[in-house]
Amino acid sequence: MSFRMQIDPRSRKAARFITGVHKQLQQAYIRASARGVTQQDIAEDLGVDRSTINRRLLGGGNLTLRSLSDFAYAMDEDVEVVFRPSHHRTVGANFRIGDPVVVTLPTPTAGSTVVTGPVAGASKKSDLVGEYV
Amino acid sequence: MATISVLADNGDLNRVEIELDSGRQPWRCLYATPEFSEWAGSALPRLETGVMQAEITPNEQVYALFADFIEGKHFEENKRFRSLVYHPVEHVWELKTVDVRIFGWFAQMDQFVCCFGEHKDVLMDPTEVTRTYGRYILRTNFERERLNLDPPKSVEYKDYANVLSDAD
Repeated sequence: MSFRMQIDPRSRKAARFITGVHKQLQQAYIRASARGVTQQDIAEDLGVDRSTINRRLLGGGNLTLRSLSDFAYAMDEDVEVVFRPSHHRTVGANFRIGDPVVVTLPTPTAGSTVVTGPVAGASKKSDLVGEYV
Repeated sequence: MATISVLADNGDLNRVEIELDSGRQPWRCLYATPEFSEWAGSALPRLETGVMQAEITPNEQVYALFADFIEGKHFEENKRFRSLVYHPVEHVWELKTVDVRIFGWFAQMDQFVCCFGEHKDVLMDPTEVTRTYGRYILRTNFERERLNLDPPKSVEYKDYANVLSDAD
């Protein structure tokens, strides 16, 4: 039996990109801290509270392009954003089309309903994304 | 007693399936108890970000974490930023996102069983007496003991190198 996580392609793209940026920010901070830079140093350089720096480093808060640039300035790092063509909106997966799937559905009264069987009407992977049976 | 694959075939556990990035292949395996699957399918999509005010929803956070896990991405070991934490008392591991905590265990290297999920703010709420770290760790151990899994039921080491191999 399997549980297939339901998330639409737009959310999936945002999830991978934003968490990826936060990881790069954390890596940059680890490098900077090895050079003796502290969160307090960054906060003082940027004129914000240390708690703001801490929240952004941990994945919270609103990371704008300006705030990313400010982090790069305060940590003496460079930052760039790279766009490249995405030939396939959906390619990889750890399941095969037509595999039996268990999808749990939120229902307002009785918790959730479990449906077993191939995803109805799915002929390609993109059909599966964000759909409940 | 049965292997984890047999338990997944007969429905005692579920294999967690997700879409991966372009060109990526699965490297590690994720399993889920029926209770976790129920939570991830019904409660998780309705959760909202908490005090951390993250830019992505808890559901998106968990998707990204699961994708990184399955694709075999390196997990940061720096104590400040790690998203995988070992609890030595019951050999329970915790997967972390900004807003979500997932309790489970490694049945074998690169094979994690998700047992319970909870919003971090609930776990940190001092007025919550039933949904606490300690209780979830004990419940995870209880569920593991109850499962008809071949011994040893979990990897009993605390280092990433004992539970994770990286694809890259």
